Amino acid sequence: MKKLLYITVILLQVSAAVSQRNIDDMFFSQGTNYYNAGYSPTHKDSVEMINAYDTRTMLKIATNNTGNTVTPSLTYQAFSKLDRFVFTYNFNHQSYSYTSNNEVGLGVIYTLPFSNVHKLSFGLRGDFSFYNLKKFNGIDYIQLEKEKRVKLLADIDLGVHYLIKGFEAGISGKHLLASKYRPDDILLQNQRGLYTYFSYNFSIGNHIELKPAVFITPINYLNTFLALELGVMKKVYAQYAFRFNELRHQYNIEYRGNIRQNQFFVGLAFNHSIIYSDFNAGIRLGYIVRD
Amino acid sequence: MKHILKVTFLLLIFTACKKEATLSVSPGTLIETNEVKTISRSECVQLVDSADISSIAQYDVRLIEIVYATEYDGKTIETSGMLFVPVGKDTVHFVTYNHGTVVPLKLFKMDEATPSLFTGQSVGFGEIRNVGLTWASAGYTVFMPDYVGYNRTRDKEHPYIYYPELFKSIYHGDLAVKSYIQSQSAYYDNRMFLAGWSQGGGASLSAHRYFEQNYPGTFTIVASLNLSGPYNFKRFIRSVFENKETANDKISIYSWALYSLNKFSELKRANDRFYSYSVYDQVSAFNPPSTVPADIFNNFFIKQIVDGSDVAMNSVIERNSMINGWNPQGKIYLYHGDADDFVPYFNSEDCYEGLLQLGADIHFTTYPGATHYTVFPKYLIDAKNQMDLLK
Repeated sequence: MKKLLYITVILLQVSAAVSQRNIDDMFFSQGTNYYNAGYSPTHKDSVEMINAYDTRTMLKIATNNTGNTVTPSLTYQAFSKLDRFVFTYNFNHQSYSYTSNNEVGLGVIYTLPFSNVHKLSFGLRGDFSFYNLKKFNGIDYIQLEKEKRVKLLADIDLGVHYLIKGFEAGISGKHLLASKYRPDDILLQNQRGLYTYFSYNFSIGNHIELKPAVFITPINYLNTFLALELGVMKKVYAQYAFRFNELRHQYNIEYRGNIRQNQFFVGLAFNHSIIYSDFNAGIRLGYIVRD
Repeated sequence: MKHILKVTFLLLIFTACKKEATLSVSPGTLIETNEVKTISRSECVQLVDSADISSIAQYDVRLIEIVYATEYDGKTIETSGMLFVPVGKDTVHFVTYNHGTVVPLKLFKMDEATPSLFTGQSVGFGEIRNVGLTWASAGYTVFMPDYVGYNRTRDKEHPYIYYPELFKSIYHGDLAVKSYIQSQSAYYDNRMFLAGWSQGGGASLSAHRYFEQNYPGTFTIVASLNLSGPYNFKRFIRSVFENKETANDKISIYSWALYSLNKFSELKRANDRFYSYSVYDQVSAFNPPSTVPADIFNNFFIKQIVDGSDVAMNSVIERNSMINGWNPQGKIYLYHGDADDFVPYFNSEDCYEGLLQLGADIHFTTYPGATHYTVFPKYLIDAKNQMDLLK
C-alpha cells in the first residue's frame, strides 16, 4: 500500500482541449480505463504489476472565436493490485472557457483468472466531477449565486473486459447517471456513453506483434475508430487509427523500456482531420511497478 | 522530454503568429477582370435546364471574372465573382444575384457551385448557370459574388447568414462592377436589382436594407426579388430551440448559422459556451453529432435564447432579422413555397406583414405546394418577368 503514495507524482504539463465533456483519448487502444472501468494493465499476462501509473496530456491546436488556442486537458490514472482485485484511481482535468472540471474516479476491478491467458474482469467506479462555478460569474450573460464556488456531480461507470489469448473485448458504460446541475435549466451535465472495444494480437515470431482494433462509441451516432498497431521487440509500438465521423487520422508511437525490474513507457500521438482545421498532439507517460 | 516541449512550444508560436496579408487598395477597388468565355444564345438555351428559355434568350453572354478588394474581419482582402454580360446591348440593366448555401467543402462539391469557377459547364453550377444565362441572355448584366469563403478566399470562413458581414463582399463587388461598367461604352443609369435564393434571398433583402440605409445614392435600388430566404432570423432560430428535444434534420444549417453569428458579430464567444460537443471551426459546426438541438447546444444557452435573458446574443439575432426596423424605398418582391421544408414559409409571411405595416411597397408570391427546391424554376422566370416590367 505504501506504493500508493506514488499516485501523487507526475503532474506535469498544461495543454489544450476545445472539446466539451468528453476526453478525446488518443491512446485508447493502449489502455482504455478512462472509457472502460473494467480494464487494467493487469489483464496482460506479460505484466505482473503491483502498481501502474499513466499520465496523458492532450494538446489541441485549434483557435476558437476568442482567438485562444488552448485549454488544459490532463488525465492521470493509477492501478494497484491486491490478489484478484485491482483498485483504480483516476484524475481528469478539463478546462473550458467558462469553468473547469476536475474529475476524480475511484474504482475497483474484480478478475476471474481462468488461466494466464484467459481472464474476465468486472469494474465499478465512482466518478466525482468538481466544476468550478466561480468562473461563470465572469461571463456577463450567466450569473450564479455568488456563494456557490464548486459543484460536485457524482456518477457511476461500469465495465467488463475479456481476454483470451490474443483476443480482447470490452464493453462499458460511462456516466450512467448522467448527473446534471440545474440552477435554472441544465447548465452542466455528464454525458452518458456506451463504449465497445475489440482487438486481436497476432504475434509473428517472438519480436513482431500486429494488432487490429476497433473502438465504437454509439453516442448520438455511431462513432467508430479503426486501428492497427505494430509492436517490435516489445519495445516500440506504432499505431495508426482512423476516426470515421470526423475523417480523422491518428498516429501514435510508444517506447517501452525498463528501469531495473520495472517498466516505463513514453508515447507521442498526433491527429488531424481531413475536413476540420484542428491539430492535436498528445504525450503519454507510464510506469509499472512489478513484484 | 526537452524536444517534446520544444516542438509543442514551436507549434503554439507558429499558430499564434500566423499573420494575414492585407491589401493596400481600398475595399471596392476593381483589381482585375478576366475574360472567361462567350456563350452563344443557342448554347444558353441548351445549357439552361430549369426552364425553356428559347423565347427569352436574345443575346450571347460573356463571362467575366471580376476580382476585387473587399473587407473581411477588419482586413482588406482579394475576392472574386462572376459577371454575365449580354453581348451587344447598349444599355445596362444591372442585377446582383446572391447564390444560396454552398457547404464549404470539396466533399460537397463547393467548386461546382461557386460563381467565379463557372466556365460554361453543363453539369454542376445549377443555380449559377440557370440564373446567369437566363437573365443575361434576356438582356440583364448579372453579377454574382462568390462571397468570402470560396474560390480565392477558400482559406477563410464564410460569414454564413450573418448579413452585416456577408453584405461587405456584395457591396464591394457591386462597386467594382460599377467601375467596370463605367469603363465600357454602354449606358448605365445607376439603377440596380437585387435578387437571391435561400441564404442569397436573405443576403439580397439585407443588401437592399444596407444599401439604402448606409450607402444612399451609391446605387438606386429599383427592387429586390427574394426567394425563400431566412428573413425572420429570430423566429428561424427560436423555432428550433423551442422544440429542443425534437430531431431536426436541418440542424446543420442552424448550427453553422449560429457559429457564424457568434464569430462574425461582436460576440466572439468561445464555442464551448454554447456547443456541447467539440467545435473547432465552421465545418465542425456544420457537422453536429446529433439532430436533436438539446444534444448539441448547451441547454442553458438554449433557455436563455428562448426566454430572452441572453440579451447580447438576442440582440445580434434581432439585428440579423430583416422583417422590421427599416423602411424600404425600393420595391420588395418575396417568393416562397408554402411546403418549404428547409427555410420555413413563415419567414416570408412575417417579412411581408412586418414591412407592409411600415409602408413598404412589398409584394408576396406564394407557390402552393412548392418546396425549397421546386420553387426555383418558377422564380427564375417570374423574377425575370417582374424585372422586365420595372427596368
